[in-house]
Amino acid sequence: MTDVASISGGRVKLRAGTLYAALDRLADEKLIEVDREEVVDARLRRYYRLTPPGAQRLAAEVERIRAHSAVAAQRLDLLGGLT
Amino acid sequence: MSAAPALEGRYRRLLRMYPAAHRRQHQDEMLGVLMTGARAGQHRPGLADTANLTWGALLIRLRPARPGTAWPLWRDALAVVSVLLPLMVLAYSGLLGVATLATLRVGSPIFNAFGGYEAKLLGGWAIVAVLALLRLRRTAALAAAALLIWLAYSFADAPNWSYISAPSMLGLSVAGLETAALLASRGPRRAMPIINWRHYALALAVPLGVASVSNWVWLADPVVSNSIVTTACVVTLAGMTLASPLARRVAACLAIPAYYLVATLLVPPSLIGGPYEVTSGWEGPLRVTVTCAPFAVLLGVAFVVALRTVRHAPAGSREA
Repeated sequence: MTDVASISGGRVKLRAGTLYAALDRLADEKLIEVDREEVVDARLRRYYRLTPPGAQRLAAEVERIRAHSAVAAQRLDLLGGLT
Repeated sequence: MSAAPALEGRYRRLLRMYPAAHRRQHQDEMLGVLMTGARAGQHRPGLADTANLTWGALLIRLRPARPGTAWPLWRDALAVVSVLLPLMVLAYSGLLGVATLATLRVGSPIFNAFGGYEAKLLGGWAIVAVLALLRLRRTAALAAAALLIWLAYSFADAPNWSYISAPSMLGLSVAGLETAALLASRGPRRAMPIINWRHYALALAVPLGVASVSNWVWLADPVVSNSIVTTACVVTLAGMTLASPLARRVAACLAIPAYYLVATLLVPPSLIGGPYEVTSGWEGPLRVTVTCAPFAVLLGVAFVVALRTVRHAPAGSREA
């Protein structure tokens, strides 16, 4: 959750309810799986990793966003917004 | 009590909103995440965290346990409704209509007006019922839609929006539910193998009983009759929710017309106004609130479901 905050420059605050709703859905769609568990300060900590279909889906999503931002940058360039 | 155990206890209480299966698997790690994110000395979960956990629990509860298990069950429930609902309406309206006509002088203007309206209504429902029993899903859906439009049209000339009332919504919601059930499910073809004679008997007996009570007991004591009808509706629906997951979904569908039936009985007509009654002042807002409450609930549910569906859609289909 701190990672999300730092990646987004503090604009996105991921909370536990949202996180676990997403994890539940991703696990159900077999896009993620449990990687390992450990106990830190007497608390269970569970690590998840992307499954191969999950990595594929993420790559496709990244590609989609990249294409969108490329078009946006191109349009901005046409307007003379980018120097 | 120091801050951490108190906070943890409160988070634990909040996590009870999650399904038991989810809690068994994730409660400890969620508590870990929540406690790690807590401020030093924090005693209570923050408002934002509470709202977020409530929302998350709602999302998880509304989601089918396994993809593709809950939706077919809803479709099956709608299929069952599509066959049983016309029979329920015929039993209820038929008995009430005939009993009312029996009290009027044959050939009087009011007999002719009421009789004509009842004949059209019951005739329409009989057509829908027969088409459904003949397994002609699309034709039955057309007939139900025609009935819905005719009802909406006949209410629409009432003054002052007074057709936004429980009595008119009872008719509209039943016709709307039947149309939706026939359109959204595989209809009678799917329902026939599920329904047995006990279901048919129950679908006829409960409306007949309710109509009998509201016709004959009402004359003696409206309070007693209204209490019996309300209890019968609540007990039947509650019994269905315990019977099976499919029956629970059928009960959820039937809860809409049942709500309007009970609202018609329990809220005094002077407050909600009949379809042709001009109302004014604060009666209007109350009437509209009573009438629109199920829509608000349905809209809320539809919103959550739509949100989930969009989130569930694969990246490619979302752009389509």
